[in-house]
Amino acid sequence: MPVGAVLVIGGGIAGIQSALDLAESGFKVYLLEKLPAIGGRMSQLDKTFPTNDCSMCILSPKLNEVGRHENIEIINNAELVGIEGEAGDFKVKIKKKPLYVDPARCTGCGACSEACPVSAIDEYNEGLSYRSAIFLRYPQAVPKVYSIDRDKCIGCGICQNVCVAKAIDYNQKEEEITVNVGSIILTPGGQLADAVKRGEYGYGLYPNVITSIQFERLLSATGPFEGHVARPSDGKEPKKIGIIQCVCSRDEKTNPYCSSVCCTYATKHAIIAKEHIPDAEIHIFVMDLRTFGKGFEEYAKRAEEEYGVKYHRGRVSVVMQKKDGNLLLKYEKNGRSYEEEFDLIVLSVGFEPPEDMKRYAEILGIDLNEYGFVETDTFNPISTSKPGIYVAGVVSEPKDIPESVAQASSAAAKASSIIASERGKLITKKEYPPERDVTGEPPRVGVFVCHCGINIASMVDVERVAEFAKTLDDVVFADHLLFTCSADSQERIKQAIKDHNLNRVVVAACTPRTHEQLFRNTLREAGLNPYLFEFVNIREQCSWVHTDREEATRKAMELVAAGVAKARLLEPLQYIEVDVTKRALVIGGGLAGMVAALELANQGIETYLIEKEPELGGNLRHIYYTIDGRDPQELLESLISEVENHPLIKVYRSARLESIEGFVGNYTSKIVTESGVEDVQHGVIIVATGAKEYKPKEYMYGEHPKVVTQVELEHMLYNGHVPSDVIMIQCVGSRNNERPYCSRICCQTAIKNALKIKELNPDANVMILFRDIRTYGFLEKYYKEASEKGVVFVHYDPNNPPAVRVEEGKLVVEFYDEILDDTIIAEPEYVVLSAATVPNEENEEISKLLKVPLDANGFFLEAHPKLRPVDFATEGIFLAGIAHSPRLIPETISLAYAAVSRALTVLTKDKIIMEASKAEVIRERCDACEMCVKACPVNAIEIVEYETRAGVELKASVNKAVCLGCGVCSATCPKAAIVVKGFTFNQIKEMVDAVNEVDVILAR
Amino acid sequence: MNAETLERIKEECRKLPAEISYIVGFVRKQSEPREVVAVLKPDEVDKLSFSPLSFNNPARTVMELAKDNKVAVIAKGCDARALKQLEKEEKIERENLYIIGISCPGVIDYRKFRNTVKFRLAEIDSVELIGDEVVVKAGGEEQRIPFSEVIFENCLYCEQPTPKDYDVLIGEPREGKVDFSDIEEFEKLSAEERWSYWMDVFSKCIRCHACRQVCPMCYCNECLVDPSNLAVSPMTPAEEKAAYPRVLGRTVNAADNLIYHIVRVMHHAGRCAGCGECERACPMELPLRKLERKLEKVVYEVFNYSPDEEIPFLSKLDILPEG
Amino acid sequence: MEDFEPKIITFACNWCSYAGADLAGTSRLKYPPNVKIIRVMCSGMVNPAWVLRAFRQGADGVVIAGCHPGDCHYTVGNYYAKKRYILLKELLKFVGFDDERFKLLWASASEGKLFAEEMTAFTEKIREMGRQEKLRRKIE
Repeated sequence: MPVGAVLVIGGGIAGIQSALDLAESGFKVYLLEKLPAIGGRMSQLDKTFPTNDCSMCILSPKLNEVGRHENIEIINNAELVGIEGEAGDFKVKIKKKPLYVDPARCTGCGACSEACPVSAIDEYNEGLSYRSAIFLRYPQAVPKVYSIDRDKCIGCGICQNVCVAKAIDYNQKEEEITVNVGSIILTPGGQLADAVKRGEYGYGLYPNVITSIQFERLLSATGPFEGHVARPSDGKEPKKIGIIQCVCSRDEKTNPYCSSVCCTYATKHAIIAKEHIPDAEIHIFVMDLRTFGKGFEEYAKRAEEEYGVKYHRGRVSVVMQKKDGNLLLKYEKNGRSYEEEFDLIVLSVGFEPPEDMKRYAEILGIDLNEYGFVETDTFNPISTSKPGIYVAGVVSEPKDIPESVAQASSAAAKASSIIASERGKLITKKEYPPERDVTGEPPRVGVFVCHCGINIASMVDVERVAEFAKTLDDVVFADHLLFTCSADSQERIKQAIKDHNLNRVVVAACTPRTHEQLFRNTLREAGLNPYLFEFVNIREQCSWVHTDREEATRKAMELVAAGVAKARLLEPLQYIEVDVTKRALVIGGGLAGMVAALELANQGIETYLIEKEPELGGNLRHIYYTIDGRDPQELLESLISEVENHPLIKVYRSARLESIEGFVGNYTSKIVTESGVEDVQHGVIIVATGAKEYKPKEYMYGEHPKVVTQVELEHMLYNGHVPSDVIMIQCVGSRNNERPYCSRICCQTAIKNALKIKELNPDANVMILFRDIRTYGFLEKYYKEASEKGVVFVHYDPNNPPAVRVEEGKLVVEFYDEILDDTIIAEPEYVVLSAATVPNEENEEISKLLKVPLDANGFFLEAHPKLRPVDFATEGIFLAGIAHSPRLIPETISLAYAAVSRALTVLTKDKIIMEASKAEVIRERCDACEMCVKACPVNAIEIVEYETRAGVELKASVNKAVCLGCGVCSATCPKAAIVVKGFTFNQIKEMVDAVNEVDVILAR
Repeated sequence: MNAETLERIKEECRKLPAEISYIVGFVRKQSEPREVVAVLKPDEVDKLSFSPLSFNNPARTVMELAKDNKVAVIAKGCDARALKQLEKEEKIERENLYIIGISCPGVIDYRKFRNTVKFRLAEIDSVELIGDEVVVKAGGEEQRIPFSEVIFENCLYCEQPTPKDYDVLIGEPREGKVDFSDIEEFEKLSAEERWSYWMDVFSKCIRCHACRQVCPMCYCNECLVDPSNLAVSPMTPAEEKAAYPRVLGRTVNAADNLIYHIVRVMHHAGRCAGCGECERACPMELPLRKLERKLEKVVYEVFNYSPDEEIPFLSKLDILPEG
Repeated sequence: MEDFEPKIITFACNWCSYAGADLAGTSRLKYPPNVKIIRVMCSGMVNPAWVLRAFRQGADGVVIAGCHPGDCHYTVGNYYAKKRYILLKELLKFVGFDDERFKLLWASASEGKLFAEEMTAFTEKIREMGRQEKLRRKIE
């Protein structure tokens, strides 16, 4: 019998995503993290490229979601010891190291840390600041439990004395536990290379040479200087910053592979630094600028044009320090040497496998590749060499956050595939007593004011606040509790609800962002609707930020008065439940569509697959080999036969989607084929409409028969026609004004075809004219191989591109060679154009049908470029394959699995339960002016007909399954005829009034 | 806006498409020289009248009528703009309208007119605009008043004297203009001067809600800032009544009146047709257009929005540069 | 005017600014207790009438705090907030009300420091401006 639980090793963003996907689709998850807090590398980032979103802002909600998910158990400060069993039934031994703090008691107040006399190097700030020996890794850490660093602790006992919650336990012992799981996902991330290895850059020697992650912390508002950029030697603001790329990447001495993310993060660093120091001059030294991801090329262009960041193509040979701390940097460009002085040098260090990777690999019995990362296969990018163990994120190859998140979802899909039969068996569902009907009852408000040990009580007179609360209208009970969040306090609250027949509860304590769910739950356990609860924040937003006890107490009263005023108007709200049709529609029968359909079907989901062409396969039909020598046609054949023979997949060929109606869980689509029209019902949609190769208008394409595209060349080679003299031109139709994006795949395709030509005819001449060679990750080795085999690479400047002309029927290519400083004229047999990957024209129609957006380039636009790479903002619609952006086969496959994983979080539920705080129309007041309809960011509002006594009337109506509860509608409506429940016009208005009326109340 | 304009209107009304069941036009008031908006059958064309005193806006009348009928409407520039706006807000369907557009040189301020004209109002036979002069005839006598002396001030800043959308246009199209010089002038006053100006204005306001009543854009059944018109029936439960949004009490004072007007005007952002019905209706003769025009200026200058755009201003997503 | 303690109401969006205010707390950054935060889901939900009501009820300053442009949890709510803010602010200025008492602030979840600084600066500014008498309801 397989086990319906999964172990996720590594609590970074990938592990978090895997855990959430699995827990949401019916599996128990153990999330193992070696540090006391999850969050991984992303928690250290200030911003994320290419949107410059605040990293913590998007990560923190995920951390909290994991922290409170009933089916995720975080095993922190722990490591893997051993494993037994096989796929479907593993027994995993885990060593839990002591935190020396009891997590059940610790409230995360931080009094211990403030009192601790020890000052130790803060790893979170990469050694740029200090922390105490008892500490929280970062303020938003989950679990929010302090821990003692026993190496640094001097055992003075002060923390134990100041901890009111009695949470400190010096005697905690290491403990070994065993978990039983069906599959394992490996997401330990990677470590950053040690820049000391490149001694010539002076890291560790010169204080003003820092690593990129240190710079990230410097730029962060939560960093060592609170966002003020200061250089370490003298705290001066650097005015001239040099950023050196490929430090311990693409480097035979350290790591030969490319770390994939550094070019774009350096661009980010440059932009943010410019925002901090507008008059700063920033130079980035690159070998090739590899901004290949979605939106990255545009990002780099913006850095250059809007922010004046200067990119130099050249290798830095040495950095030397001057007396004043400034640094002299020597670099080579086109065979000439240059020297330049900087205030600060940032080394863009690359990724390496995690330090304990080898040990983990041994324990788990999985293979590592030549670089020490986890070995995977081009067609199975998520699987390790051992069945039942999957992998996601940097540990299998350096990659950015969206690729890691997509892989994490993919891994969740694969991990659940083998235990699909056990879905829902190990998860717990809580039972609550029936809800008391409070309609018609006058409000009876109970107020609980928290001391939070001394966190609140030291600055706010909690007892006086509780006394004051008793004087407020409709308050029938008020109390103050030492720790309102503790288990015994929940019992006291429940008892008070019973004893005093409370029908509204106000807690004045910390922040709703972490504790609201806890108290809502308590209300439910007491038989009250969870929405009859209001949270008042008197810790983070009162006691911790004020210094005068009298004033803080007064403010706490005002906030409590506001909370009570709102509570009096709270209504019971029902969680929104939507039935789910457990079938899927996949649009597009290429690689992504087929992989997605197959995985869905393998997990028991009936799937409709529609393909516009008469046969399945899409672009995969035109790919005959991969760069690592695999056979895509074999993959194609097996996929087609599996898809066609799967009893749960229905394929529609030469088909078109005519209409789609409905919302998450409940879609109805009309599919038109040659044999007629069919209506199908399904709960989710996966968009996998692909893209295609651009038909160039440049370089005589179409005018001379021997000017071909890479796809055409590949077809020629496959048919045994091997040219002997070829010039390839990169970036044809990409990275220009019309198509500003990088097509990502063409550099490797060119090298793949060049190597193939060399393999078939070692004497052939192959030259590649390029702007930047973007063989990211492990592809770098093929770049090297091609050079070694005699493929000639010549850089060209987009302002002086090569020219192709025909002279007496012969092809002539003219280009400028920077190193020779000369114009070269060549007469190749073939000119091969690396043409852009362009979106399909149908995208526009499909985007309108589904009401999902396209980006500026015509590809589909995901809900969030970082953390929701395969979701659309509209729930129930997902994105896979190159309809998202150009990508390679393994990346396409992982996006397809990711879309499946996300879809399964919907499809595995009988009902989707949604937050009840949604917009609602007050029909009597609505006159269908449609202003809300057009303002709604998610198109959740429509005008419908209602039968009234006056006849048929038009009114706005909210589709609660779609509504997100943002309330833009409510502020747009001229008559407050649409309100968000829980934030209604009057509820907030009463709060406004109450804050101002406290004078009056205190006076009486 | 002379006898010829009226003849052209009648001529057009006589050859209306057969499916038109009503004409919304202007009919002269008994014992007064001005017109009021009236609903006529197609065979009542002779009752029509038109003059520079046809200043009212027929849009709201049309809105009610055009729900189930095809209606011909005589519309000046501002009237047509109001119709367009109502169409955008799905209150009117364009296909139910037949717009007889009037290229409008401006209308007369009735208050100024009454103070200027030498005849008793009931005696006046006709009022025409000929060239720059208003020609008033009464019992064979004639008085010529320069138009500039009696023009409705609002018309001096008219952006759209000629309807943009019409089925037939009477008169040569006129160019509108974007002119906020009056607002700019007012903005030059100090904050304290402005405040005392408006306090003076709004201390006179009696919150009779006449401005709201006549405004073609204030068609809401209930108004957020008009506590007098909440649709509370005897059957409305107490809880629901308590839940009704109430920003203002019923007491009348300058500050509450100011809030009333600010909220009302904000709801008109990008919608106001500029017809000036509010000012005409105000029994206290308050300069209500001034606030509206300030907002128009913001909408125009900050948001670069034209009332001709399809999406209503308040619903439109504007991504303004930061700073 | 002595001992004047301004009353400031800050509408803060749940996802960025409220979280930023929390971070100010966890980081123990100080700002004056004059600031009272009212949590809303999105700055785009703040009804201009609430702002006017706040001034009428005696607030000396009102802040709407939301996510930075592009960061909105609901993608575009903050743009609507800004739009309404501009309209109301311009009108308030036009009628001679001290529109500087009304402020729009972008503060992210990681900008606890910025939040505290902005609240401090705004409070001090309002303190200098004195009591808001123009719209305040007089107890008659």
